[in-house]
Amino acid sequence: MMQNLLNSFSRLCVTNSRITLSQCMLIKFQTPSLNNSTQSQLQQIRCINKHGYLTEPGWKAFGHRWIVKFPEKYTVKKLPLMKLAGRDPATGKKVVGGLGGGHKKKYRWVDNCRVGPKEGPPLVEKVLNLQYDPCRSAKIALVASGDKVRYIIATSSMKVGDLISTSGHIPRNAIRPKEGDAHPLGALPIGTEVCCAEKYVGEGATISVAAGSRAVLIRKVGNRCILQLPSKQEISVKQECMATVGHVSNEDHNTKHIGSPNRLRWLGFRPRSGLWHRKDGRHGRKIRPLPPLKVLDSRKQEKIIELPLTIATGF
Amino acid sequence: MRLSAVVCSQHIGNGFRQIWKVQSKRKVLEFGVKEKLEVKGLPVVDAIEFLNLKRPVQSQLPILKSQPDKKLIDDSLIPKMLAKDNTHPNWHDEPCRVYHDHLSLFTGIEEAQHITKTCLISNSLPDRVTSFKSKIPEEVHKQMQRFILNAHVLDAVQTKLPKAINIQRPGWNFPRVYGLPRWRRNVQMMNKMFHTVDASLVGQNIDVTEQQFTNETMIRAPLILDGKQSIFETRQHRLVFGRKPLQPYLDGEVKTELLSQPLPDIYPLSRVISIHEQNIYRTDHKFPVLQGAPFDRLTMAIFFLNQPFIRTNGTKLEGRLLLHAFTVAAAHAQQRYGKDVKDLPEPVTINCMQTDSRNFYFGCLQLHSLDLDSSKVANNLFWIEDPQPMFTKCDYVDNQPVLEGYNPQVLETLMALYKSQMATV
Repeated sequence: MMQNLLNSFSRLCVTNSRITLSQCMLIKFQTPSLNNSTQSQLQQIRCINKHGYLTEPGWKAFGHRWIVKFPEKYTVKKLPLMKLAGRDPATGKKVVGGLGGGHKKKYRWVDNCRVGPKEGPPLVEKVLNLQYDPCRSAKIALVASGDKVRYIIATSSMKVGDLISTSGHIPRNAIRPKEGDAHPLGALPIGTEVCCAEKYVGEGATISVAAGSRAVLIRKVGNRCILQLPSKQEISVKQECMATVGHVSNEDHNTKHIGSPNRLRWLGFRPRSGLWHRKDGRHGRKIRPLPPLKVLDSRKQEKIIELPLTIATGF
Repeated sequence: MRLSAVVCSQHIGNGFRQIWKVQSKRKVLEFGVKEKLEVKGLPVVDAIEFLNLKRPVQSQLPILKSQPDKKLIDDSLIPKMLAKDNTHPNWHDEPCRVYHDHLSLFTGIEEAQHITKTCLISNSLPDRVTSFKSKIPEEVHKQMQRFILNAHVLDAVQTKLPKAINIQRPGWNFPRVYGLPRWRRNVQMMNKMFHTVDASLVGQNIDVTEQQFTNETMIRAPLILDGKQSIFETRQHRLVFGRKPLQPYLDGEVKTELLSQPLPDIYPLSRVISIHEQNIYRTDHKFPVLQGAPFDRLTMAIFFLNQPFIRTNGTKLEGRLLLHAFTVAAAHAQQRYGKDVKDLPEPVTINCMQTDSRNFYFGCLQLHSLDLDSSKVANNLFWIEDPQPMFTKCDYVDNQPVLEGYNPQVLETLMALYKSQMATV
């Protein structure tokens, strides 16, 4: 089983930037078992991120909307999904109103971690198919390289048969970006429109993953890159954070009419109240200045102490 | 006194209500049947009483006569569905790549060419086969059209067909249709086609009893792919056996020139991308006919597409035909020349066909080597024709069975393949 896990897909080489290895140990195993190297690797794999694309095999909740059963190994097969209808998965009490019912769905396990080699030629993948996904607004692409297949979020100009590349290299001069390719933000020129960007290194894409959305790389300050989000807020992230060049596919998603109240029920929503909400800002809201620049992950890294190894006496 | 409203317009609901008023009060007429039956000694029971009888449902398990309370077999002894984990009897700790009937290729025939090391000659059949192609008389075609209607529309088998799905209208439940399942259509179609071909060949003084058939038998060929053990197996097929083998279609310089041509590029994919690894498999070789039997030479293989909904695009089905034909030919070659054979002393040549009872794919495979990791560009040869539809429409229109756009080419191609096999006998 251990070998299978290690052989599974690219996400397994992802390291966590927020939870250190020793913290993982303390969380999972309170007994001291630090000597076992295989177990420590397992811990690193298991505690990946808060959005939890691979935490543990078994049922995993996505908000109060649905829970999905994840297998041990990455697969492109459709996964079983159960609707929560706004209930908390632990307590079973209703937390969110307006959810419930809808057409039956299956979950597609989308790989949000596009990790490429830091040296040498990039990872090249071929787009085999562009598909509809009921659990997200964007379209997904089935891509393959070698004998590995995975789903990623499709960009707007992606076509079947295209070759897309993923690289982790940050050169001195900015590269000329091609849509669909994934690079670290530090490698891209200023003014590039990107999507599927990471907040924390190795966490997986969380910024602008919805249909048609994009963020803009505004400027670079030292080792950090500043992104303008679709909400016009600016955030500063590390230059090693990966991002895909271009916009997310299904750009006219927001212009498509749902058509009828019953179609809204098919999509899993219950009827809305229809009343005027003074505090939510429904039916008009005051324009306020944008919040100030938010700096994420500003912890200082510990300096690496180099130890000169010399031999004073001969053998 | 209040007068009732005058119904001026014609209303179908009112019409039905009026009819129901009359029809709901019906008298049961006495014809003297009850008395006649009672004279003969037959018991007569009221229909309502018969329906309300509480009959005990018998258990499927046999019960001991001496101890009627105890069952002969315990419930735990009844075989259950095997769990697909390490308790399965065919479980192996080392995973293995398995090609089977329900596997579809990601890219198409290019991938199949790389797996089997095969040179493709597309949209043509060998010259020897095309030389046998001739026009069939009109009466045979008329008979074939009747057979198509029989196989597609007029067959008596009726089962509940799978649910119809339309992705444009999610949540819409279509009415469940009773009709002919696809496997039945395929079997009937094949029976009728070979019946027609046999009947017309008998008129030309050809002994059709020199070819024998097997149906839906398991075939398994263990081979080495990319340095690892892998399994090729198939079941949904019909095989034709003869007394003598088919002679190779191509030889000499033309063959070596064809085999030296480069295969199509599938970068950045690996050739084994579609053949998944699994832990539950069997490694033994399996072939239905023993060596030394009167009809032990494989001449033709027919593969069926039985799944209700097949999403295909590109050349996926052509790739399926090549891999299925290779599987059958490889199992036949392993039976004749040993399980560890690489380069065959004599090539194994088979004709092959794939059908969903509407579209027909014809091909010919000439197998020279089972070495899938060899340094050569290609070892084997495969001819394939473009898919030919048998008809454009075959269905009920206004409760009348209708066949439109019959294509005579399909029967003529099958006849040419079959005749070329007979000529070598």
